[in-house]
Amino acid sequence: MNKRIAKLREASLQAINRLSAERALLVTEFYDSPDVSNYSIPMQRALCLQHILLNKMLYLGEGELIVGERGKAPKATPTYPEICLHTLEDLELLHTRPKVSFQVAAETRRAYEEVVIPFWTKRTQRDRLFDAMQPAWLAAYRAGVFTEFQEQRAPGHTVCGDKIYRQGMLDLREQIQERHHELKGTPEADRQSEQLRAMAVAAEALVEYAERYAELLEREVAAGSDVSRRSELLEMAAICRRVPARAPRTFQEALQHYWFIHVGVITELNPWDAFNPGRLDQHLHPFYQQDIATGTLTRERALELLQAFWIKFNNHPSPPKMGVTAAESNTYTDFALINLGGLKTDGTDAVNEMTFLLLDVIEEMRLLQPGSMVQVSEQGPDELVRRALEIIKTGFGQPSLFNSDVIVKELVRQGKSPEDARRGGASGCVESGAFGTESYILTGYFNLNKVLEVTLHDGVDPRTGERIGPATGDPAGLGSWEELLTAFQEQMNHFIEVKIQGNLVIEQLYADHLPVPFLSLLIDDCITNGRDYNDGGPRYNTSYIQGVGLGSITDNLASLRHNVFSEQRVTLPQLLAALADDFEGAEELRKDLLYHTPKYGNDDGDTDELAQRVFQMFFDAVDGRANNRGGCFRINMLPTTCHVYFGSVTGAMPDGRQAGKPLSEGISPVQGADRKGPTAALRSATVFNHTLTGGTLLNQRFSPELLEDERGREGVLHLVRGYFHLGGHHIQFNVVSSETLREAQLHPEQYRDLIVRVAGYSDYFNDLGEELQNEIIARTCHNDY
Amino acid sequence: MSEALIFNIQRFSLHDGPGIRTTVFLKGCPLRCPWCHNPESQQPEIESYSHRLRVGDRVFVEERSFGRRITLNELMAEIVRDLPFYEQSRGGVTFSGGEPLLQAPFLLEALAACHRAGIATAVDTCGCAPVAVVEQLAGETDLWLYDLKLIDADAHLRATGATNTLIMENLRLLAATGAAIKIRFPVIPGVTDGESNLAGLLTVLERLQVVREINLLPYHKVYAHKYGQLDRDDWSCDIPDVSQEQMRSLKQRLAERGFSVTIGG
Repeated sequence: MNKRIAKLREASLQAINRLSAERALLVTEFYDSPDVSNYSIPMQRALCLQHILLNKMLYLGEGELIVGERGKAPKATPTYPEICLHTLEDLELLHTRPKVSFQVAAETRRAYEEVVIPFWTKRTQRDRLFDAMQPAWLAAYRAGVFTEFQEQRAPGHTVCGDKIYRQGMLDLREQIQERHHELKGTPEADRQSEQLRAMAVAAEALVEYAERYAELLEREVAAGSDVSRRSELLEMAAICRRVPARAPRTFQEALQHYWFIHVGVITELNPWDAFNPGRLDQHLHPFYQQDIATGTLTRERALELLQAFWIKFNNHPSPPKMGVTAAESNTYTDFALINLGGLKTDGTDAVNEMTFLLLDVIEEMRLLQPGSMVQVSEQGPDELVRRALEIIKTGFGQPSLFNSDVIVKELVRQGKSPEDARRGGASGCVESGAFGTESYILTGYFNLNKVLEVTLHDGVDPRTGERIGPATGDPAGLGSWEELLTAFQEQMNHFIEVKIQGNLVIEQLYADHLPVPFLSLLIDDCITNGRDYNDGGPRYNTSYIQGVGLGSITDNLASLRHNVFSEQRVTLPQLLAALADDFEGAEELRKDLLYHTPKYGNDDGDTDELAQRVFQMFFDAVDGRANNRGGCFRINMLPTTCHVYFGSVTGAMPDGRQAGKPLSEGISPVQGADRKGPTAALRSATVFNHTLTGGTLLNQRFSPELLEDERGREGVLHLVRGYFHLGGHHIQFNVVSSETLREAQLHPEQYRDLIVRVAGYSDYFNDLGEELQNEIIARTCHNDY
Repeated sequence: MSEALIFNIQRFSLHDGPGIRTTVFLKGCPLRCPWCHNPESQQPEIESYSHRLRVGDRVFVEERSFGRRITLNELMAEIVRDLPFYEQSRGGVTFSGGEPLLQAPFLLEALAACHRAGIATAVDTCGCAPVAVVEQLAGETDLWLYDLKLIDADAHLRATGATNTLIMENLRLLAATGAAIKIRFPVIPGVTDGESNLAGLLTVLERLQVVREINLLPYHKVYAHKYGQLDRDDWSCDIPDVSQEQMRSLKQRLAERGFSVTIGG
């Protein structure tokens, strides 16, 4: 990287994560004005966004090539009081907590105390949400049976498609006007009309924001910087006058265009999973080819611009999370996942020169954000996987590897057209989506193992003594293994029902109170339908529940079957008594549970069949249930950091795991339980049909030596190909030795830059809680033999 | 139903032949190399040892066995599980040991069964077996990983407990029939790395003409604990580890003579 990029990168790395009250104050100012109630809610949201974009402070970093910042400066992070209001105690906690902290200045605290808190108390979406939930929901939520994503963040989970490279904001406004003329005088038309007007205001707001930047850049020129910077600034000013108003014409315009739009989405609300350009190599390649052909761009300049673009993502940490939300996903990462490779809409291989150029950027930038992944299709070149592995071996967990063919199958099974499916990919951690046409909202994690714990206590949570599920029978009276499984299924169906009923209410709360006219501009067919993104406007509308702990639940059930029912080594009451005492005095039993009991991840058909059964139960309970937005509920299998939280609320279990310890993550085996090497683990992990999900997450740890030589890398290449051939959705590798990780735990100050793969994303090892650090160290490290 | 005595099945082997392989370790060996990395592979019978298990603060000691009997069907059921990975990587199965040729009847059946399942085969052998056995197996073996340790017959006898007459004869036989052969040469300081042994090795290989590939296997002390588990004191603890530098210079020397050399299998 050149000097400029090195400086910008360093500034981004050194910037301190801090809270900024700017947005909260502007939103409060807007809603506090007497005129607001004259407007419909969609229009209020659009005008609020406009108020922010017209008044927020503009930031221009020294030497910057791409402009636009959500806060006043890199890593100055806004809050969203209309969704969730931080108390003064929250601010103090954020300021002082050792992990994922945000500095809170005295003036921010004062602004909260004097303005933000008095105005928003009891008026937030979070208040509405918890007020609307039924006792059964609240009991299950408190017990840690499931979490709820939308309690602190807006529905997001979508990715930009390709239309913004053909249409600017003013083009979209024209499309809105045309659509407006077609509406007839029905009540539905009135509602649509209001939505469309709001979208038009939002489109204009972003253009006005860009014009403010143009003026700022021109003022900088007038103020006289050095000559080379002057021409650069003039060019940037001209670009800001072109985009996002109209479609970009050059490579640089395309990057700036996307970035303004990105800032628009994450300023409007705090959608879970920031936003994301998606198939970036596909979007940028035509601009790159054209500019190279006309001689207006060199490869070096393109690299510089891309690196500057990368740094922009890194400047934007995830807005602060608290409580359960922090526990389930505690990270600065805001889950923008750049997709590379994959398939074209006609089904042919999409890998191009830009794919490899972007891999160079990823390798050299070595930043936490944005995340990156490579879509590998059966017909995609081995060269792509080899290049990805070369970067993976440097040990910062990027890029992860996805199976394009399976992603397309998943989306088509859900009813998307093959073309829309092939325009898609994965976002967030591993979630499949049709980019540009789908709202695929993750609603929360589901604790499969807590359901078993509750089943083993006849519907009562043993941690609190509270009844939270139906009485499915005293476990001591359950005569057979099949009866136990039936009781487990009944409990699962109950909690899924409670969760879905809650989500139907929550979806409606967002449709009614927090429409997103700006995001709606970007996702088809919100404009055509005259409906908001949060109200079923997109072409496809999916709601997901994420199952957590497949490895643990399989091992727990396998242990019950093996030790209680087939081998009768222990009676159920004896086992439950040992669990209640957290194996105190029952070490010999625990030894047998740990070492002499079948475990998932070893390609053992009888045990893996249990994984398949639990998966099928979970699928049957969720898949195809209607949501409020014209779509369906679906499942996926990913944990982020929730397997640690869910573990903390789950007692000792029949697999020998002690109370409070992390559960397994994604579809990976329990940490350390897979003893037959990676191929066996991968066979276990494909015992169920991934096509029935919207994404699964599999972690594998390798020692750095394995990937050191070409033979090892070729072996891993074929391992990936084999896994994808078997129908695997995603695989990621952690390539850091246990010794390094233990050293980093002992001497965090010497390992501040150590980045590891967590679950579908990478994070600084230092920012992880100790439990999660231990969990990562405990993951089986596969070497070759 | 044929049965074999094995001591391990290792999936995802990357260093016992091309691609991703499953290596089946058969138990029992005619040699007694004091540097052996797998001493538990030598006796043609099941051996027990004590295994310590830690659970919390408690330590449990359990009796465990090196070695188990496995039928051909059981073995094949495990081998075919990785078929998708063999296909992707052009890998297959490697029979190693111990000395797999000591269980030749089973080995022949297993090799044929692999071929019927469309799986490529390799045999990792010390070559110390009757010529008829090697002749019989050659038709079902796609690749021979052939260990050569010491070229001088007396030195071989002193170091391993057996002469190398059969070893050399079998190697010549395989070379003459055009079999694919990779030579595996353990670099044991003070035993196999002497000048005359290296010169002898080169002479043998150049005379055979068909052998082009050599794997150099460096000696490591890290396996010493296995001798302890077996209550054996015959481990040559006075052998130092091989330096990386020595391995590199040896590799270069062989490469200069036109061989394709890899370190570590």
